[in-house]
Amino acid sequence: MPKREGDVSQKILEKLTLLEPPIKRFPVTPADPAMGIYLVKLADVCYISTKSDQGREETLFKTATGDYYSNYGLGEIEKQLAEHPHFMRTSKYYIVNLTKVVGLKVTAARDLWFEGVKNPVQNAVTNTYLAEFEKRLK
Amino acid sequence: MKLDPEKLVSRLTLPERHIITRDDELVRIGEIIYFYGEGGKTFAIAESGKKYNIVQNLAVIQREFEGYFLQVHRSFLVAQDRIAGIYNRFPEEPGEDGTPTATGRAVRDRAVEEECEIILDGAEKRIPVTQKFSGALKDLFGLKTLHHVVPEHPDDRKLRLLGIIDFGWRELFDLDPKNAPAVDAFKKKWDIRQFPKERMLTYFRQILVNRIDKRRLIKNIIYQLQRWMKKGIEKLSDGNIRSLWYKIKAILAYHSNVLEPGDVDIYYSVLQELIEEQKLFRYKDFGFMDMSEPYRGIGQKRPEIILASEKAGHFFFIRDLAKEVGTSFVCMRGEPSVISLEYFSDDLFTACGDAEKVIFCISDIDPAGYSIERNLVEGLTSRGHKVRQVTKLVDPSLFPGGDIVYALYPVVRYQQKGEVIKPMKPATVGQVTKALDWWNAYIKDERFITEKQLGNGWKTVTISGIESDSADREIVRKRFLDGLSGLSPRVRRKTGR
Repeated sequence: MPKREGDVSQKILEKLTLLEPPIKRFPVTPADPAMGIYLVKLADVCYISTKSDQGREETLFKTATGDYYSNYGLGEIEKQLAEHPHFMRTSKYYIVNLTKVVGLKVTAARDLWFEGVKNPVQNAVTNTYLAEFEKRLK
Repeated sequence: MKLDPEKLVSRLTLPERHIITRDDELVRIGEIIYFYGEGGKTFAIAESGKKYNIVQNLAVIQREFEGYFLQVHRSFLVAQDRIAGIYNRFPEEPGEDGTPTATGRAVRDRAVEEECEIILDGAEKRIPVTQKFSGALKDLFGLKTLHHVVPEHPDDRKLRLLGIIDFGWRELFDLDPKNAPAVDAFKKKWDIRQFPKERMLTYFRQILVNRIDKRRLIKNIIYQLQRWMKKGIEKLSDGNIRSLWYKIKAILAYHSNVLEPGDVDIYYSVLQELIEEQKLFRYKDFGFMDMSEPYRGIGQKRPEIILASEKAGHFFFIRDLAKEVGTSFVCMRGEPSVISLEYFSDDLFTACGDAEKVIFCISDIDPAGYSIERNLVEGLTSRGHKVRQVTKLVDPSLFPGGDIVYALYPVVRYQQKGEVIKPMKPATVGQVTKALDWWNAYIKDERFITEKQLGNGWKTVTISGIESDSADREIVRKRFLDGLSGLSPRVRRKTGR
């Protein structure tokens, strides 16, 4: 019995973590050049991608209101967000915020729609990550 | 996943707790953006903008709500989840324009490295972070520095170290130069010249002085203009270097009036730094006219062969000679100017690509003449040309025997006793050293150095040189033509001529 109680407590704590993630902001390059560091709210981030097409290699933090950039690679960001309950790696190019997913299209891979973002992200979830994605989305 | 249940539950419930004000009001902790102490009292600023006088002092509040508020300054406690951005810190209470509020290098360095200002979601006022508390801020967000994002892109780092901000570069990247309304809107947003003074201060303020760093401002304007010219949204300059200054100055005068007439020297110096030292771009990229354009030409038959002279007086001579045999020519009129070399180098590339170049040079037999020749060669090689051979058309062998004394002129004079050397005016130590080095490295001809004993072990030494104008032009011409015919066929084959 005590063991079972411990499991329940752990599960409760894990659920509580959904409300109080261990990391809430991430340092990114600010849009305002007068600012040194902008701390983007992870709760606002829809997805993080290496598909930033502005002539240089960098990582994009997509929010409904703007784009922010970091020079960390996706692998490093994945490590830093490992304990964050809302973020998961879904392909070679994407980490998504599960709380921001508002739609998906079932194809070989998954196209995802995000809250406040007009265009869907195609092939956001690839086969390697599909099972875990579906499990965590439920 | 390791979880600290107590801490987690505490953080979840803290925002729902309340704090009491001196007016017996209860304020929800989650609504408070920051607390500050002033005149022995504690105040809280809430999301609504309302200010509350709180019963407890900052130390008590911090203990009570540990993990929710972060102390960033002796007088400020901020809600840590609301920290949204970090700025460089300037004086809290700026003095009148130009009045430093703190002095001393140590103070300045500390301010630069370990202090900053933060903005909080829900508040307009920036909150200062002092050295004592900056470590906690860094720890909270895993920051290595408070001044820029780490890791930093190499391009951003290069510009930051130069004090340059690439305003709106992402928008510029996507901007269509043919979309006039979009270009206008972009320029209206980012044209530094049109920033009001207050906005300029946010970007270009001197540390601990409430004054614009003019050098940094001018540097940023030049950089921006070049970026925009390259993108095709700014016209190239149709004048010389000074024309561009007047263009910058006129717009600045209208919008912010931060520059003065003497600042043109800063402009020249910045232009030189960005182009000649940092090599960010070229004078030619601005479209500056080359005042020396008539003094150079590209050969029709053998453009890879260059007949050069440092003297304006040789212009007709070398132009006609080069034309006669179809080679290129350049009359430098002193040290070759960077802008002139840029144009000349590009013209050479257009005419003969990367074919190896051969230079025949007429320069004075003195340190300056040799320096001019070296700078011409370096100017071409640093721009990608391979120089196979440099031939001096005027050298000491052109003046055989004792008649040389009629051509010599004194370059420097100095007095010497043993190892002690005293330059004789107007010569300086630097000039004497340079002249001695030149004589030892290139001349080694006793005819160019004379000594006169003064007694007591002292002597006067004169190092002389010869103006290239003293050389017989027919001999110079013959040397050039002989040299030309003696060139290996390899050079000719490479050019295909």
